[in-house]
Amino acid sequence: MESGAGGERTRDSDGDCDMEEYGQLQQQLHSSKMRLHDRLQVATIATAERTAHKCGMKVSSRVMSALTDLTFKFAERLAVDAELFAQHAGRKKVDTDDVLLVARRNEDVLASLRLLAQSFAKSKEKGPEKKRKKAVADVPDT
Amino acid sequence: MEHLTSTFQPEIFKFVWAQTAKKRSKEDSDEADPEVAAAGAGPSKKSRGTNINSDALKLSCEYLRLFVTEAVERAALVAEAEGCTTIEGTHFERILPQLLLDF
Repeated sequence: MESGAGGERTRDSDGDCDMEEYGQLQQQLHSSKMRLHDRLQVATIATAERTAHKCGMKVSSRVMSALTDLTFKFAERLAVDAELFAQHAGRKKVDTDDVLLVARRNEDVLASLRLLAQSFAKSKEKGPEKKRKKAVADVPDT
Repeated sequence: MEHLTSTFQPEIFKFVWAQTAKKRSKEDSDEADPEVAAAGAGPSKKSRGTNINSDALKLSCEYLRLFVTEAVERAALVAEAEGCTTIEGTHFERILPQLLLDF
């Protein structure tokens, strides 16, 4: 009886070969996932400590790690949803509207995010206009 | 402080989208189960690597920051009601259901 002992994999079907590559890819992704996790932890700790300081409280380390895990999963879900919405609209780039749609659960959150989005749009409009005005003003001066 | 997250936010998203793209390519090769592939991939457009707008990125950073801030503030309320100065796991788990429903 043929038994694949340990590392030997019979490559009769393409399925087995792909599984090995898939496993390797998974390992690579896992290590990069850990790195992203750690970087997120830094940002989460900063934000959480700031907020807790405002309330005059401290945060325990267990709560911090739990919050980091939660935020990471939240970010993953956000990414998946935003991608699906962009794909649904027939776009390849995720837009502000897609992000706003993901945040539709809570109306207050949606309202404050929408304000922020509008401020971005306004600053973008003002940016190129200011450049044009400067160019026009420079010409009669010189 | 917002831009703390914006430095590596695109990498989290790209990581997730790389995973979803890989899943889709694996499902597409698995033609024995077309139902599973259709259910997993949705509309069957093979998009290799999604990108994000910079404004959308800042917006999602703000969204995540709101999430963390809200969680800490709600847990702080519970801890304050109990008379503690440190936010513990018991305080945190009490706010968790409503937080997840709100976000």
